[in-house]
Amino acid sequence: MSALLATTGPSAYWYLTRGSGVVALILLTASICLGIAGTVRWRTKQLPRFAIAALHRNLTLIAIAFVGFHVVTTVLDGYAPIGWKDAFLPFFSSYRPVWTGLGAVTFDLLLALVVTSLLRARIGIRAWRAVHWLAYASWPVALAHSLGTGSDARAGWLQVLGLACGLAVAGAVAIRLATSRAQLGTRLAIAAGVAAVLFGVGVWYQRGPGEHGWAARAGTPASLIAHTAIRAAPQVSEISVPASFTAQFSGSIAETQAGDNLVNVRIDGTLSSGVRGRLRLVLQGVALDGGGVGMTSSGVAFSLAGTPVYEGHITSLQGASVAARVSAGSSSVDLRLALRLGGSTAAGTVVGRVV
Amino acid sequence: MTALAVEPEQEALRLLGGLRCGRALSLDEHLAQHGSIDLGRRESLRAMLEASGLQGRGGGGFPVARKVAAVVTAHGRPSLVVNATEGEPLSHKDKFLLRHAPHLVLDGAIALASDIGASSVVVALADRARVEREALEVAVAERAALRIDGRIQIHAAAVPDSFVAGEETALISHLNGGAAKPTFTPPRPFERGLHGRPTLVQNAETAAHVALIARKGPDWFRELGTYGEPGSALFTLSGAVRRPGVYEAGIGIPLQELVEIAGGLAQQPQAVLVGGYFGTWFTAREAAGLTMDDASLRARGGGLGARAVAVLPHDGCGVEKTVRIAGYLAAESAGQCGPCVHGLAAIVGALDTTARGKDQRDRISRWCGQVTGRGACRHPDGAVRFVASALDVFAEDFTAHAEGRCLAR
Amino acid sequence: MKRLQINPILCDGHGLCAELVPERIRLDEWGFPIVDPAPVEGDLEAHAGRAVGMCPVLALRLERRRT
Repeated sequence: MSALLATTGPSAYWYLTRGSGVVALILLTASICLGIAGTVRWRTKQLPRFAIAALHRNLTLIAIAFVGFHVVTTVLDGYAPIGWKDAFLPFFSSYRPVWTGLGAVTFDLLLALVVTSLLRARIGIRAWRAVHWLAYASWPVALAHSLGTGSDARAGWLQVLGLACGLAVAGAVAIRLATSRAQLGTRLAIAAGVAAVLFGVGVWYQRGPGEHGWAARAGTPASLIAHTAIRAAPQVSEISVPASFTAQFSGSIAETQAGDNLVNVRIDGTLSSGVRGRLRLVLQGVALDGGGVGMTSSGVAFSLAGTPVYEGHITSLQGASVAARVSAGSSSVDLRLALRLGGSTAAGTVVGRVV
Repeated sequence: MTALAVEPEQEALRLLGGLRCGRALSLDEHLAQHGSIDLGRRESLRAMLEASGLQGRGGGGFPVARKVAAVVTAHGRPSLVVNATEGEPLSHKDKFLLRHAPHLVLDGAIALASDIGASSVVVALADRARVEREALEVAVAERAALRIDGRIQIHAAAVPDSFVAGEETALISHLNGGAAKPTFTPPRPFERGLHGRPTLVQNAETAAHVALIARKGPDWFRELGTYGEPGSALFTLSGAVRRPGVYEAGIGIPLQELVEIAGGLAQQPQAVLVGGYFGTWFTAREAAGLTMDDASLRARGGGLGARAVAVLPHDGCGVEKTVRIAGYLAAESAGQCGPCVHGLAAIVGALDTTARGKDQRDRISRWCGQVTGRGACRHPDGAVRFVASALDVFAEDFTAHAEGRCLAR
Repeated sequence: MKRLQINPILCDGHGLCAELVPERIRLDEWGFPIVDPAPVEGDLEAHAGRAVGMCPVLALRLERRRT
């Protein structure tokens, strides 16, 4: 079932996981605020101390449930190659390893918090308290994870949400510091640290997830990058590709760093005069000394007006000559490109033949 | 304050027998005065302590034989701690013993240690008790040179100069490397104390009595004192007496006689504080009829405590003394328990306000009722008992102060 | 016979116990609990158990006493 759901791209699981992730982040924000409310002994007529404490406890448990659901749907969804181990062991995933890893770190921290809290009477107050300080770490890690892995990182509503949650937590921490009986020097140092973290996250966000091209830099596998570019609207009528065709290609070429020695090269453009369509090639590889790329993986997405999206990979690469094989369902097409590359532009001819 | 010359004519000189002015008895002088302990005696030390009815002399009054039995039946090899911290400002007897008769204290400690099977003795002293510590170390060296204590080692340990540091659980906590503050959770020291071992904690004066009981037997011990509280004890007298200092007398001695031993009154007395800072005030007339035993004192709302007695002269101000001592007790709270910290602070504040012209005694009475029994140790209880007795005995004085006058001036 | 008991050193006057078991615990004017030593029985046991679990510093215990 999951295989069927996966082949044609983002499935129901993928949406469920994104949704549950966002809800979990909101619940965790609320939980931290309530936990701090308990520490500063906040109470109202409607919410006595025990109610605040119980809310904090229950909201955290619900948040864990959502995080668990988020983990399950992520693993079950085949779109991104994330397995069960990646939910607990950080940084080994092949999908955006760092940012997914932070999700595993968050999950581990939350598990530690909940287990120690459930066993509080057994382990004693000092051991419990020592672990519970980690709660302050879990929230920024969760936020970094969601901004780094989420596909909606540039979406306006998520920006607003992230900002709102950030302000809520920052405000609660500020109140906590203000009412603390610790030395003024210590408190100022902590406040400065928190401000630095928030500022750092903000700057990172502006340069990173907030910018185009983040997906590639974050370590999304090449095949998935190619796919997301051309996600056609639901097909109204399905026309098939001509048995053979020639067209002019005109588009852009961009090269970005993908970590270590890896580079992503993206060639993106339109086909015209002959047939009309879109073509995108993404290749990932090691940067070579003489210029050029030693390709390690690739992704190609191709469609003509009215056809479904054909996806595949590059079969050979010789200088500016590229051969690729793409398929959609049971039909496959061989493409041959001769490109002229200049600066950031790419142009040339495309010859295609149905196999 | 310095201890002065001891009257050689006193009948009850047991611990204070044969003392030299201004220095400790050497080991030879000590043995000449008291003889040595007969190691071939028939009765075990435990049996002798049981028969003698010796009670702790540190203020708690707990039967020594029972404490020893509890430690010996607990699991593990016992330890012995001699408590010479004496945090009560009005009491000087333990320091006096260490300065003048350290071997008596050490004899008793060693006798207890061998009886319970402890391999070492820790003598706990306040940090600022330098002279006493020196005297102790000289005595330990004398004994070590002659190897009279076999394999039992004696160590001195310094304890912070605070009021609560001498409380049994606070002392053990400090010796174990923690804070010198009382603990609440079990186990008690007799089960698990110093380094986790069952620990016998005895006051320095108690150890001195053990040294003499081991030599002269329980019947001799019972020749002084009362039936329920046998033996002699050390009393510290201060205030309006001619010769303030440390004196020995049988328990139950009338207060008037005790004062006579200290040279009699130096001035017309107004009131007497019996039992130190945790004790109770008595008017001069009441005091004239008191006997120094815990049973009769309790019947009158007081207690013997560590047997520190202070006489307030007629021209002294009971209100001022009360405010000062209560302030000290509040400041010396270990600060661990809300009712003690807040309650004592509130009581002291109200005492001061009353002394300065605004009567808040009803508040003080209310707070006194709210504080007793709600701390981890008996510090707030003792402070409240002190304040309550002061309000009673100095009622007229407080009324005068609340109206802006002072009866003493 | 079960009774509620407070560890006065751990207690920091949070006051959740008095909210949850007002039949046995009330607060003094500084916010610290005064415990009624009467036994805890029947329905009250569940409330007492909840208060024990909710104390932020685990200062409250429900102890079995022989007296």
